[in-house]
Amino acid sequence: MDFFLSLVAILESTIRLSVPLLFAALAGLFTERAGVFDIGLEGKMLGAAFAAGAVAAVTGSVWLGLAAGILVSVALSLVHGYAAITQRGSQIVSGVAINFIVAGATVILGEAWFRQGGRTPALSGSARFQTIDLPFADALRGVPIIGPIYSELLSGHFLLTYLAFAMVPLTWWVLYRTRFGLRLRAVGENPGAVDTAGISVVWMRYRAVICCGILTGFAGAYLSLAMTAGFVKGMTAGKGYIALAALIFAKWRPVNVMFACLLFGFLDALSIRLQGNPLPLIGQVPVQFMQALPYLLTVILLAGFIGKAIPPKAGGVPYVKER
Amino acid sequence: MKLFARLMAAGVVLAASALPSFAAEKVHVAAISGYFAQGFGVSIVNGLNKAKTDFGIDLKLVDTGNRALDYEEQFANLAKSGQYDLIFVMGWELVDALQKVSAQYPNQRFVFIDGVLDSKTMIYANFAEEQGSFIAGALAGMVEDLGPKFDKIGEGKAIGFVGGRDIPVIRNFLGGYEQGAKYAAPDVKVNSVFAGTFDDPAKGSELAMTLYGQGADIVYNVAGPTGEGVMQASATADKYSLGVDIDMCASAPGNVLASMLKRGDVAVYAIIKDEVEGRKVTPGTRTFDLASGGVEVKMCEDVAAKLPAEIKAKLETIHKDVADGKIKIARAK
Repeated sequence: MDFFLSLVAILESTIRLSVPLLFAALAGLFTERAGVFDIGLEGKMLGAAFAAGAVAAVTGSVWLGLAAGILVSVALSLVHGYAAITQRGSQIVSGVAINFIVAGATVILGEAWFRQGGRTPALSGSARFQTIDLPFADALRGVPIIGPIYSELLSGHFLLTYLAFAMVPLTWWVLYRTRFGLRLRAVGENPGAVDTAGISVVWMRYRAVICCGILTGFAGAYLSLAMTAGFVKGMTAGKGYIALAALIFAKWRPVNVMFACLLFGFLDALSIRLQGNPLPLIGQVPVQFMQALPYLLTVILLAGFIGKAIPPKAGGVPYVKER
Repeated sequence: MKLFARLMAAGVVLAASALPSFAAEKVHVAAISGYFAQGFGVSIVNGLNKAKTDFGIDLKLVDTGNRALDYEEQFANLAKSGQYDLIFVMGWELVDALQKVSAQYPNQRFVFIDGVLDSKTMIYANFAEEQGSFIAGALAGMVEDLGPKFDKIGEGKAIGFVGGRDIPVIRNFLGGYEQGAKYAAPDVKVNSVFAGTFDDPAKGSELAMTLYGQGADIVYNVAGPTGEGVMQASATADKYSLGVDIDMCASAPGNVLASMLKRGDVAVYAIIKDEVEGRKVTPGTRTFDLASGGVEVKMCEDVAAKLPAEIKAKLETIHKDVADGKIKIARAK
């Protein structure tokens, strides 16, 4: 029973840790499937986290904060789109530039506006997302097995958490069951063919980039409005890059992306949980090893188990109309 | 006439007393760090500015930013002109560059804030964080020992600790905290974890949630911005947290028990004061401890109001015994 309860606790922590990765990886899925590589997920998330934290702190409304986060993230996506699609610049350079600009700009603006060293004021009450208890969560708590699973694992998360997991089937449906999704994937594989069919490649790619912006907006807002209350300098801490790794690991497929993000989240949760507790047979393990564990396992999994990850064929290549 | 003479005399006395500070060379001070804008850095800047107002020193603040590649150049630029009497340095990421530049300019007096390094030519402003943490641990231990009869405390008989990286200075905090808890409440266990980073509040929150889930009701954060997440997790879980470096009561009102303050302002002010008043600051370690006001534990009023009087009284006795040296606390190596 004890083991079961710790497992539930680890899985609960896994869910909390996976959400920002999941939003960001799905965001990357949209643009990369349309042929625009996006290394700027990290920067957009950070920008969204800052805007969300700042606006929520000033207005006291979590919804305005969320809207501001999405707005900023979409704006940054459009900058990336303009450089990479319209101007046909290097997608990597543009993405890296966004990461750098945001890392600096958030601290400068935060310091100028709030004078707390680049942080935004701590949020409370209606300026922050509250956890949601599912119906009957309290009533079922005492029931063995089902009780903990329902009231601990599934209930008591943030609205954005449920949204993140709902985005997985939605993304799948959009990509594989709608005309928009078919065209989006085609633009990433063979833009020439899409162009011949009389569909604007540029407009398709812009729409994909905007989708990406909206989702990274959610990712950022989750960090500063739900998981913690307020923006802290550099708070994405590499999650955008891990999301990118999860995307490649999942071979650019939505359901796989979810499992990849859950796996990364699980490894992180496990390393947190095992710290300070001796392992059976092995005994006390150094903290540093536990902290490196998620990354070690990632390398092993990436190198050994997924086989060849083939990116969309036209990924990273700006589209030039043939004359 | 008599009045005039008296005024003259007063004037002479005033001039005479003011004379040494005018006659002595103006003290030039530089300070360099990447963290002037937050937490502990702010308190250092406050101390420097107070010294500037009180003593009229010449002060230059240099923000290193995140440009790790040119730390050495930034130090060398300050040191090579020889115009600064003292250069204050704060931040462990600067240590390598600092030691190299200090070896090149052995006559330049660098003051490293918050730690002790190998170099013999530097001045170290060290804080007895183990003393402050001892008090914090004693407080947390006694509150936890009250059990469910105190608001938000469970029966876990455990308190937690979230460190940033596993480095000696953080171990020293942990050591003091553990000893304090053991001294005041031998039955209470200390669970400690490290985030591996100082810049990930989400991870800090997750670590704290895990500790709360494992039965700890009070978690001490020594993790910079990562620790922000710990403070907020205490509000989410409706448990208690302990702040560090600066007063963090406002981070999660009602859920913060106290903060262990490291008074960077007290330290830099005291060092500059010595220099200005002609007691030249020489290489070596200066420790700012509980007795000298370099570290202190500040309770948050809303929670402190609910604490039983005997805990407060016992804490005061412990405070006094640590300050007097009656309680010896081992430093982590």
